[in-house]
This record gives sequence, structure tokens and C-alpha cells, in this order.
Amino acid sequence: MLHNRLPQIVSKMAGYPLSNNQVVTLSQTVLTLLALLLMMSLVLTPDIAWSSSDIAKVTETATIDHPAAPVLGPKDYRQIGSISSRSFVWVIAQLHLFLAAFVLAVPLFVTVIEWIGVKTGDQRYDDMAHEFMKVSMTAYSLTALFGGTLAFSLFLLYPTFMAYMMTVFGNQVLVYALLFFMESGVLYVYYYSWYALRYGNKKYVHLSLGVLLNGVGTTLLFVANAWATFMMAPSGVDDTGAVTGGIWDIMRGPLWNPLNLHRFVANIAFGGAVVGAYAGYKMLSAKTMAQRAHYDWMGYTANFIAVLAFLPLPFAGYYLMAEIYAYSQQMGITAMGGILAWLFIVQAVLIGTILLSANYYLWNGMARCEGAKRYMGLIKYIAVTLIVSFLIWVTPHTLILSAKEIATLGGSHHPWLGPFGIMPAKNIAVNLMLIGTFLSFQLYRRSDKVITVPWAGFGNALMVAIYLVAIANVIFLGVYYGYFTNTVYKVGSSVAQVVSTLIVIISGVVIDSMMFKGAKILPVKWGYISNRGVYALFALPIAFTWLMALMGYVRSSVRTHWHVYTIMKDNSVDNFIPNIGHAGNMMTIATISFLLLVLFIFWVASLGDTKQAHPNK
Amino acid sequence: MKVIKNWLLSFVIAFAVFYLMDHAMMSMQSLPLNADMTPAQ
Amino acid sequence: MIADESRFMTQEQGGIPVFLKVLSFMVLMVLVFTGIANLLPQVEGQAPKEVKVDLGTLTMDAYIAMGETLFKGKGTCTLCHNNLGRAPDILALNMMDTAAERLKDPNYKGDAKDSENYFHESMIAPSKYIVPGFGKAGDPSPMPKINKAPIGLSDIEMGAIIAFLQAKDGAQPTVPLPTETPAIAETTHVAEPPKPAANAEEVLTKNGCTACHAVLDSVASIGPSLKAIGARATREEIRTSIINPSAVIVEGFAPIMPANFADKMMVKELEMVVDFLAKSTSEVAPESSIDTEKKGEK
Repeated sequence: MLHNRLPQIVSKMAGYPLSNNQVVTLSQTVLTLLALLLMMSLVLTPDIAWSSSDIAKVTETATIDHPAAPVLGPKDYRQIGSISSRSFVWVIAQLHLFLAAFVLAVPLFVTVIEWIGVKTGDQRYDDMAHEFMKVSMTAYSLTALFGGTLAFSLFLLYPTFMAYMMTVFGNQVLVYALLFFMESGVLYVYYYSWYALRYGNKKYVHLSLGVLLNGVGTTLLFVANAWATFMMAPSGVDDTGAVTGGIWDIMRGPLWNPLNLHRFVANIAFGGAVVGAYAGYKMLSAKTMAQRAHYDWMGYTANFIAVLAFLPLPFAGYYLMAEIYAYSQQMGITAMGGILAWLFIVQAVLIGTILLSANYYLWNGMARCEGAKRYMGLIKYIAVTLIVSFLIWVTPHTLILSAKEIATLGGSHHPWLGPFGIMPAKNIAVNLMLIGTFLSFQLYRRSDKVITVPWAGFGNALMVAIYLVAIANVIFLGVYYGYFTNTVYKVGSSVAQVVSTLIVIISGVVIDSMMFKGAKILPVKWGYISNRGVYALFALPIAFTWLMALMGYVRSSVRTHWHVYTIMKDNSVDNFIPNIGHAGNMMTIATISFLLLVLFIFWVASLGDTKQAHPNK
Repeated sequence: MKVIKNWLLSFVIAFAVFYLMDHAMMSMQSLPLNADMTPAQ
Repeated sequence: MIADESRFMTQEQGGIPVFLKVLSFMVLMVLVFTGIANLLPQVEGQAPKEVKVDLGTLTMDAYIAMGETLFKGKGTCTLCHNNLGRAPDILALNMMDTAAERLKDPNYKGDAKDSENYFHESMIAPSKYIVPGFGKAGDPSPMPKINKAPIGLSDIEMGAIIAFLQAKDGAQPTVPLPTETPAIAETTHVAEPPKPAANAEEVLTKNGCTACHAVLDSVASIGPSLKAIGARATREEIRTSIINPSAVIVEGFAPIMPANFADKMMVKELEMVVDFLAKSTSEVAPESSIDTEKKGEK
């Protein structure tokens, strides 16, 4: 077998003997690099064969071969009976995205957990990774089914629009299909070889497969993202929609990478939340304490992943929004200051729910360890900060008022809504919420340790100082630049606020890992979290799911009455932005459908382990 | 005494880091600040 | 099982199954979010509707009113031009005084000399001058070009807005009222002869092609040169470009070629022109299809 001969071959090539571990680490590295190269070749290299250098030199842009975007009329739209095409595609697309986010996220953290299992030698990590993968397998085929249905729906209901998109994207759609062949192949081998490639050298081969799987999955995500961002901020075409660039120019629009980053990170948070619900459910229905303890630990790990990925997400979202503003101030203001502004209040409610649930889970989890008692006193301060910040974040700015109401109010803005309803206040609020959440997290991590390093006094003082100065800085930046300087300084100060929060998170992680060296570990009683606390694991994925749907509504609506912004007008019967109540109903349909699908997925995952006893026994 | 020194040093470090970071982040966006944090433009 | 652990094994004590408790919790949560969404102010974002305006009966007052409607509607001006500080609060300012102030600013490097042209320039080339205190130093104006997508106001619509800006503070609008036919058709419109033209040159001249295109003796550059068009395009492409000019717009040229030649030209005339242009493969004029005396008359 190659894996036996490989060390000999490589040693011969290198000219000196290499150990088995060195060889497989080498092969792992090589495979990792190949996976990364695959991803990067599609993402970073501008001089790939598909790009535009030849076409760009031609002075005439639109020709018979590169026609302008068509102007759509009533005959270019179809309907299924009296069902609104927009509503139909909305639900199918949203379900596809929910499932796709899940199946892309799970392999990401499964590979990491598997690797932790190898490093620590703890078999439980490996078993947990395998169990997560099992859940993901059923979800994968459902993702593909919804993807196919979505494609058929789009071609059936919006044929002319899709014809134009095919003109623009051309052969890239077949590349997408090819990537699916690769994804399926690697996925099946990765999952089914789990126990065949379990120990030693073979384990490294298995890990490399996991990395490759993630490389292909991420590439799939990036390719599909280009379709959405092209519709919002078209590139590689001229004002009439005629293709002027190569596929590279078309894909690499101003919003592509911000969306790539945002969706990549958000997928991980979402995936962690969904498997957390799986663990939480199995925990509450456990028959023995041992089972309960096992699933408690699994739920904690999943929640850890979800919250860890969630913390940088507001920054990724902010970056995406900043790029939208840079591309078109009008699009940005429509989203946040115009008709869609209320949406972001709803978003605030959802993120508040997510942060409160995550914190609630951590606080309840402190019951697992004796060492947590010393930190319980701080919880009330974090809770108050979270609630006050949440209320500020949820405060709207502009209310639709009648003339009489304006007279009673004494102005167009309520005296409280005026200052609290605008971004500076909300930036303070969100940064404080993130700092508070990280504090809960840090306290939880410390609760099962007694620190023994000699410089603990200084370390703790430094940590406290960083927290206090960061909080003061966030408030100062928001209040001073937000209310007492001009617009550009106001907007610019939010970057410094974000970095303040990041400094707290990074220094917290670094200082703690240094202080934990040689620490005395106290026993953790897994399973000892109250059942109330476990419900946070169910609140998290519901809030995440509905939030994803809400953001999808924003992404689509921000194009206003355009299929492809500035290039192809939407002339269908649905060319208006639906009101938020209707959107909420659609999102609920998608969320509840997804909930039922997930229950099916979990059920199938456990079905594989169920054995019916022989009737005669 | 050691306790006071720890706290003093910690706050000095923290202030320095955040002060410098504020200036750096604002300058990077072409929004320079004066030493007293007021806008320089 | 240890005594204090029994409080966790509630499932054994019967009651509502875990499955139902969890499911109803999640569904309830979703319904709370749905409820919030339905309780908020409900606003639909309508696409701008096509409004037919009878230019023949348009008065200046109606034109100004049209400008105000556009300012608050299709033009989406109030999205930024309000009292929130993102752009000058046009509705609150006296725009005639403001325009005069702007033009006097030593930093003003644009081409306008009066308020009408200043407003027009602000709409089609907003980066020419950014009012101090707005935007970021060194960056182009955050204001989009109003005559381009996604707003895409026509000249008439922009004129209406200018009229509104001038009139709202009491001044007299200097923008002319739009008339039925746009200016460019005026110079090229020629009465249709009852008989088809004798040759391609006559067709070209009669239909005003020489007003925009370099062909025959013309050196006009409003549209692409046709002198060597036969080398660049096929007969089919030339024919399409004449009867459906918007199918292909050559880069660098405005999409203003009249689209009604299919109605105005006779089939025979169209074919003559297509033949002639297809044979024009070099900068030197092809062999004339007519007698030398009648060549190239305007």
C-alpha cells in the first residue's frame, strides 16, 4: 500500500531517512496546500485564462455577440397558477441557503474537532466529530434537491432574466456543477473512511481529506456568491449590460469578497447553533446521566463554536455594508436610512436574542463547576449592560407621524429617539454587548481553573484595566465623534470602536492562555446545567435562522425595482419591495419548513443506529 | 505596594494602547486627530 | 444514580414529551418574531411608475409641480437631501442664494455660470464640485449621476427639478418649457418624399446621417464613423444598426440615434444604404453609385 511505501519513497527522494510522522505531516501539508491552491486560483489570480485582457482591448463593447441586457416585459415572466413567482422562489431559495450554510459549516468545525482529537489523544472529540458529520450527510442531499428545484423554478418563472444571467456567467455554471462532483466524492470518502483511516498515519490522510472537502465547499460558496453580488453591484459589463470583461471581472465585483467573508463566518456560527440544538435535544431526552453528560459536553462545544464565530460577525456585516455604501450611497441609505431601516431594528431584536441566549447558556453552565461561584457576582452587571444596550439598539429613529402627532411631540423626532436612534448610540450598544458576551465567556473558561502562575496579580490587573479602558473608549468614541463632530468622523470612529472590542477579545484569549499554564483544574460536572439553560441551545438556531432570512430580504430588497441593479429593470408584477409584515410571514414559512427538515435530518441520523430486535429473542 | 504598582502599570499600558490605537485607526482613514483627540481637519 | 442527579432525569417522570416541548418553544419563538414584524409600520417600496405628460398643454406651474414630485419621488433626492446632515438640506435652503454662493467659491472649478447650469451640472457631474463639509477629501462625490441608472432622469425631468429649485424660493425659473419634439430631431427631420431616393448618397443625406456620422463628405463625430464600416460589420449588423440602433451602442458614444428609420425609410432606400455602407471598407470613399455631377449634395 502506498501509505506504507510512502515513507521509503520520500526518504529516498530527500536523501535521508524520514520518520512516518514526518512523512504524513508532509503529505498532509501538501494536500492542504493543494486544497488552498484550488480555492485561491479561483479567488485571487487575475491572469487566469478566463479573464478579459483580449476583450478589453476591443474598442467596441456591445456587439451582436455581446448584446445589451434585454428589457423585460410581461411575456418574460411566468407564474404557477395564482402563486406569486417571487414568493415561490423566495421560500425555495431560502431553504436552499439554510441547508447549504449548514452543510458547508459542519465540515469546517468537524475537521478542527477531529484535529483537536488527534492533538489531545482524547477519543471523545473524534466520536463527536463523526457524529456531527453523520447529521450533515442527510442534509447534503436535501441541499442538492433544493438547489435543483431552485434552478428549475428560476428557469421556469424568470426565463429571460436567467437567459441573460447565462450570457453573463457562461461556462462558470458548469464549473459550479463540476465542483459538486468533487464535493460529493470527497464528502463520501471522508465520511465513510472514518473508521478505516482512524489511527496514526492514516488519520493524517483523513484530516487532509477534511481540509480538501472544506476547500471545495468554500469554493462552491464563493462561486455562488458571485451571482448574488452581480445582481446587486454588476461588474464586467457596461451600462447597457453587455459583457465587456472576462468571468473574472464579472465575479470580482465590489461586494463579492465582503459577502464571501460574511457568509463564510456566518455559516460557521449557524452550523454550530444547529448542531447545538441537536445536542441539546439529545441531552434533554437522555435516559442516563452518562448520556446527559456526553450531550451536555457536545452542546457546550457546539455553542462555543457558534459564539466564537458569531463575535466577529458584526464586523464582517459592517464591512459588507461599508462596501455597499462605497459602491452606491443611495443603495446604502435605502438599506439603513430609507425604506428598509426598520428591518435593522428587527435585526437588533434578533441579535439581542442571540447574545442574551448565548450569555444565558454560559451563566447557567457555570453550575457545572465549583470554581464558578467566585464570578457569579459579576453576572448581574453583564446582564444589565446587555439589556440596556439591547434597548438602545432596538430604539428606532424616524417614526411615521401624522401632522397632529408632530405638533404634540414638538418636532419630527422624539427627544429620546433622536439621540438613541442613530448609529453612534447603536455602535456603543453593540460593542458593549460583544464585550459583555466575551466577558461571560472568559469567566466561564476560568471557572474550572485555579491559576498558579506567579504573575497572576499583574495579569488579572491588566485584564481588568483592558476591559475598563476599552469600555470607556467605546463610549467616548461613540458619544464625542457621534454627536459633536461631523459625519465623516462619526462614521470613522466606529472602526476604532470595533478594534477596541477586538483588542479585548484577543488580549483576553492570549493573556488567559498564558495564565492557564500549570493551572490546577477543578472537576467539571457535565450534565449539571439546568434544563432551562439548555433551552438557550434551541433559541440560538431559531434566532440565527430567522435572522438569515431577514438579511436575505434586505439583500434582495436593496436592489429596489431592478433584477440587476442599474442594468435590468424588474418589470414583473412583484417589482415592489414587500412590506415587513409580509416579509416576516414569508420568513416564518421558510424557518418553520427548515425546522421540520432539520427534525427529519436528525431523525434519519439516529435511524441509522437503530436496530430492531429479532422477534424470536 | 505590589498591588498598587500592578494596577498602576496595567492602567498606564491600557491607556497607552487604546490612545495610540485610536489615533492609528482614525489616521488610516484620512481622519487625523489632534493630541487632545479633537478632529484635525 | 446519585441523589441530586435525579432532578435532571425529569423525562422518566412522564409529562409532556421533550420533543413537543422543544418544538413548541421554537415555534413560539418564531411566532414572536413574526408578530414583531407585523406590528411595525408597514411600508411597500413601489417602483417608479411611467407617467404620461402632454407637453403640448404643459404650463410652467405644472412643470414646477412636476419637478417637486420628482424631487420627492422618482429622483429620490430626499433620501440624502434632508435635515440629517448627509447632504445640503435643499428644501430648507434658499437655493438661488446658495447657487450664487457656490459659484463664487474659489474652489469651484466647474463650467456653470448661472444657477440653472449649476444645478444641471450638480446632477450630471456631481464630482465637479463637492460642497465643503460633505463627502470625504480626495474621494468622488457620494451623489450619484442623476441622468444615469438607477435614477435615470431624462433631460425634461431634470429641467423640471431645476425649475422647482429655482421657483420654490420665489425666483423666476430660467429653464425653457419642453416642447413636443426634442432638439436633435429638429435639425435632422426632413419631409418624406413620396418617391424613394435615387441612390444611397441621397438616402444618407436626406435622413440626416451626415449630421452625426462621418460619411460621404461629413466629418461629424457625434456617432461612429461610417467610412470603413464595411470592414468592421456585416450587412446584417449594418441593417440592424439602422433600424434598431439600441441593439448595439458603440463604446464612447451616447445612445441618441433615432430609432424610427424603419418607419421613415422605404425598404428600397434601406437596402441601398446597406449596400453602400457594406462596400465602404476603407477611409477613401467607394466608387460612387451615381453620376459625378450629382455627387455628395447636402
